[in-house]
Amino acid sequence: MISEKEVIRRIEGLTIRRLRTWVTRGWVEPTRAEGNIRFREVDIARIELIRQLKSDMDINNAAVPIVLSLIDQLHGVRFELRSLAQAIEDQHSDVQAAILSAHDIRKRKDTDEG
Amino acid sequence: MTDNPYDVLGVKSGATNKEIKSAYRQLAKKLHPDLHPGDADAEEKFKAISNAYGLLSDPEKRARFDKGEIDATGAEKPQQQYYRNYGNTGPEHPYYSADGFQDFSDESDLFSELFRRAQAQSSGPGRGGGPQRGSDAQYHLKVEFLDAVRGAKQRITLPNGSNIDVKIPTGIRDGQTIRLKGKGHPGFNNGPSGDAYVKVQVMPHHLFKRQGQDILLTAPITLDEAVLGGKITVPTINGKVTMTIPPGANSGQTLRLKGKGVKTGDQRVTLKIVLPKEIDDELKTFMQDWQKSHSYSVRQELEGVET
Repeated sequence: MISEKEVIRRIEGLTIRRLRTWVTRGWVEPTRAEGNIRFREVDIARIELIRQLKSDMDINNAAVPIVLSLIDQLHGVRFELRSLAQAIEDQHSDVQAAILSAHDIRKRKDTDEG
Repeated sequence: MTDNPYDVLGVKSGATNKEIKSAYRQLAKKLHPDLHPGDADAEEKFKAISNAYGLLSDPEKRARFDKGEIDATGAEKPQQQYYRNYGNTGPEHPYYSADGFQDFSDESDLFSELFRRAQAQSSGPGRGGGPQRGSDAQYHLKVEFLDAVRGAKQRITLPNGSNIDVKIPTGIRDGQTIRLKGKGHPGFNNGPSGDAYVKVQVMPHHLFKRQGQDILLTAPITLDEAVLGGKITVPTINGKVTMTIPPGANSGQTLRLKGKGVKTGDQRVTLKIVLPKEIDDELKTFMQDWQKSHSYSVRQELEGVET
């Protein structure tokens, strides 16, 4: 677990004030243990992303949570899709073939309808 | 990256700082790896423009580059841990969101069930200042091959001395994780305990191998069984079964025992003809006689190969 100080040290150009603002806005959600704020590696990566969204991509404060939410949803969808694909992978080859062909048919149908 | 930084950003060598910054921003929005979680090349591309911008946005470095004192590599930044590197951990991810599935429930019961479970798992830590869920604990568990393919119960001892029984689901694979709800670290302010995640390492078996849901086994057979056919007994993951060897069976030939694999999988038995330890005179004489009138060729394929 990583302290506030360590986060500031690791991320170039980040101030404690800015970090606390981001936490208050709910963009970063560190854990609290016995009154101390503690960051995880995933929080560090997220803070770095927020910093780049703001400074490198000129994304304004109103848009940052929107971008973060879309990215998190995308990861959620990708994860579920991947685990579903792995679950199909674990099935007998007959079951796999049935799922794949049903998927093909549905895609074609959706395309025709759309 | 050694490409000219002006070319990388697509600006003229006389570009103003503002033009350089604007060009970089355009490219960063297009190429940032976290905006392309599945694109393996995105990281390289983004690194190239970051390095180019790092060089050209520093007036001193830019001047030195223009005078040819330093090359385009400049000084590389330490490796960045992109957010997307943490993106694939699913519901244990503190920022996991399954909101992308909410509208699926009308069309697919399967997906709505998946979604419901995912939501239940992602009551993430750190939200607000009230009761807080304890953090998750990670454990490692070695599981015997047969326990993994058949399912089993195994007891693990936690660092604090207490024991928990872990139910190993049938067919679990090496590297999969079992989640034990509420068996992680205790919560704060009356919050619930975190979950324990048990990463499973499946030990290899000296006879069985696994491929998907199929179990692979090599069964030695005698020369006479190969020629005449017969019944042999082979082990499966659920006990011994008798199988029929067809007459004229060959080494490398695979026979399938339907439904004897993991869950709905099969057991595939590869035959291996094993000669007697000692070739006795009777067999030798028989073969010599047989050879005279029955020679046959088996290496046609190898003869055509030029080396």
